[in-house]
Amino acid sequence: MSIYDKSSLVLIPSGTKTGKVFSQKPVSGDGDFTFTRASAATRVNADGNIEKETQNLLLQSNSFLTSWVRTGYTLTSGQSGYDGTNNAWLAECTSAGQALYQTSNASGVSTLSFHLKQGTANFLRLRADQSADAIAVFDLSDGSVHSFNGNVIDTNVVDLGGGWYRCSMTWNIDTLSNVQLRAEDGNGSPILGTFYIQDAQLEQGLVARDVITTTTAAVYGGITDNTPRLDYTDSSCPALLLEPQRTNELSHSEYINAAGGYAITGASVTYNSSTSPDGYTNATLFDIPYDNAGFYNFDTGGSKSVGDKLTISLFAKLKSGSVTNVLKLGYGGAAVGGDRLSEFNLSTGTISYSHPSADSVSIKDYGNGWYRLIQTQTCSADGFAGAVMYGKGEMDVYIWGVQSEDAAYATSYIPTYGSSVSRVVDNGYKDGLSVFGTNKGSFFVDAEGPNYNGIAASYLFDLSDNSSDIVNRFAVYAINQNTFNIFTNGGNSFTLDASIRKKILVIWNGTNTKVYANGVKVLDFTYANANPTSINLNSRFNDVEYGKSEFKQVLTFPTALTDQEAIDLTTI
Amino acid sequence: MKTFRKYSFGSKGAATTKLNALPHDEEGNPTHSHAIVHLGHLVETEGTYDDEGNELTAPVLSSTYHIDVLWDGAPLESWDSAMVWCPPMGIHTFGSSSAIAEWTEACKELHPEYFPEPSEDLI
Repeated sequence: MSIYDKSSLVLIPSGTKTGKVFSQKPVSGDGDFTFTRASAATRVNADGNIEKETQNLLLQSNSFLTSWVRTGYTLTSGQSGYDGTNNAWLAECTSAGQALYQTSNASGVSTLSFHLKQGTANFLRLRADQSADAIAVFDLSDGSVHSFNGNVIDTNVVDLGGGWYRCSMTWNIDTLSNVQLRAEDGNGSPILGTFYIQDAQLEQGLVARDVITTTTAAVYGGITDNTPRLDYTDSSCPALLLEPQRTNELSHSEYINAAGGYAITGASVTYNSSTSPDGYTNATLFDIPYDNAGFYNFDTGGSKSVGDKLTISLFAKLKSGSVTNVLKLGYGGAAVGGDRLSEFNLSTGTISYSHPSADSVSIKDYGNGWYRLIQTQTCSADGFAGAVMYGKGEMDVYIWGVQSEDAAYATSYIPTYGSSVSRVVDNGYKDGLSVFGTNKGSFFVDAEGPNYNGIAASYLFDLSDNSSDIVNRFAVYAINQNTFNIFTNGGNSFTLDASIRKKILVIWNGTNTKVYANGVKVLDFTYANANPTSINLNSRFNDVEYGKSEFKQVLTFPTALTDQEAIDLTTI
Repeated sequence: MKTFRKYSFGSKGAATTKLNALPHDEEGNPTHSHAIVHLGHLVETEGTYDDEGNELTAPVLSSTYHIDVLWDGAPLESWDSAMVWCPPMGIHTFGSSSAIAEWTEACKELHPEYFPEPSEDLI
């Protein structure tokens, strides 16, 4: 009999839906875990890209008779579209001086896109309307950008064949009034004429992404509220990623510009220069001509206090430059006693210098030449701390996804487009279980984490009767980076690096309890009569004291496994 | 339904008192499911810095202490006196699309002056 045959619940995270992580056993669904997170988030998906929430903020994105103000325009459906359907529209402007528009209060860095084809009108103008507006004019006779002005960050045209182009414009505007489209003569004057239109989209960020069709409300996709994260970092097999609440204190994580508090010193920047870790062409190129050219940004969430932990991270990829040149990253300012920068070699993917005042420094390979650079710092004084990135030597480097967290370690990327953003805590739990025997059972996890937060206990899991009662309780938590406790009657501590992958098994038989970790029995103590009925992953039963954990497997058994079974199951 | 609201208090102590009145267990751990973010004293005037990031003039902070809450449900009425509204860009938000949309609609209804009107010259 295999160990899985003996199990009463098997959770190998691979299937999810909103608010749910499916267990493979029992097949009735009684073992499915409940999942909550009241915000969007990001993950590394099966393609190895960092996946975000997606959205189309426009209503009736391909039905231009409602939600759109179309005074002076006649819209006729049923036209041959870019995608082989007859879902396109013929727009005819019969009253010069009018625009087809829709009210929107989108704010921050946003991208508007239309699929367009010329009719009698060649030039079409996109406008993001506000007192400080953004305008771009596209020439559909050859698919070029004719002109742009105002708060435009970038424009783009994708040739879809058959005379169709996806035309997009990206801007940074505090709060919009509306988005518009009109025909014009190429000299700034509106004209009468026709053109074809399909699939309008307004979304956050520097680029247009996959089309999302909307009707009466905005539509959000990807990793949106309550979507469990199956994370594929470093593996072809996913793990359930559970993290604490965190804030990216920087108001712009991708648009590295003075608007987001960045002071760019010496370097020149070009937006949307290369493919970033999210798979879209939205990385920023930094042309760094000499030492200490780069950026600093003191918009990191206000004044800090002595002892506060700060963690900066960003994604970087070397475009060109000597293999000995390095990128410097860290914090500066009074709160940390001046520039405290570590050095990263993007040619070798190594840390060439760790600043001695840093709590930790790391570099992580994200593939395709991209690395995430991370430094954690403790504030040595009250005051302000600035995020700092400088070059050391001449180099061209792509940058994306800058993040500053007031915390002791980096968590997954939190994109920001004009305001700092908080990702809310992940909860994964199962209540009302009857998967253990009477006064006996076994519980196994294959997981990474929990990262110790430097302040309070970080729970890997908590088996309980959903109360704080110590009876019926087996809770394993890190009290520092190297020591775990098991909270139960007669509990004790054992040593294990919190940051490494671990296989932990708790066995109880009505007389005593054993704990195995990575093939070794680490605890054996007297404890009887435990009958837990709930499992909380990465937290206590009452959803406090979170770390960051990734679960590859969770198993329960109605019996106490043997020592040999324990060794076999927990050996990595 | 989650509801996002912003609050301003006269001091950190006043904010802490309000937070401590939310449900907690005997160990002091919150037993409510609201998400709290301390914004603290907001930067009202940005600091200035030289090319090397050395501070020339310090930022000016608000005397008030600010907290953002993502309520699990409707906001507590007892917090209403501290509720504040602001233009929807630039400070902090929770990454919940539905909560942001609800907050934006509520803000627009109460403070239309924070939202630009369509240009008179639509073209």
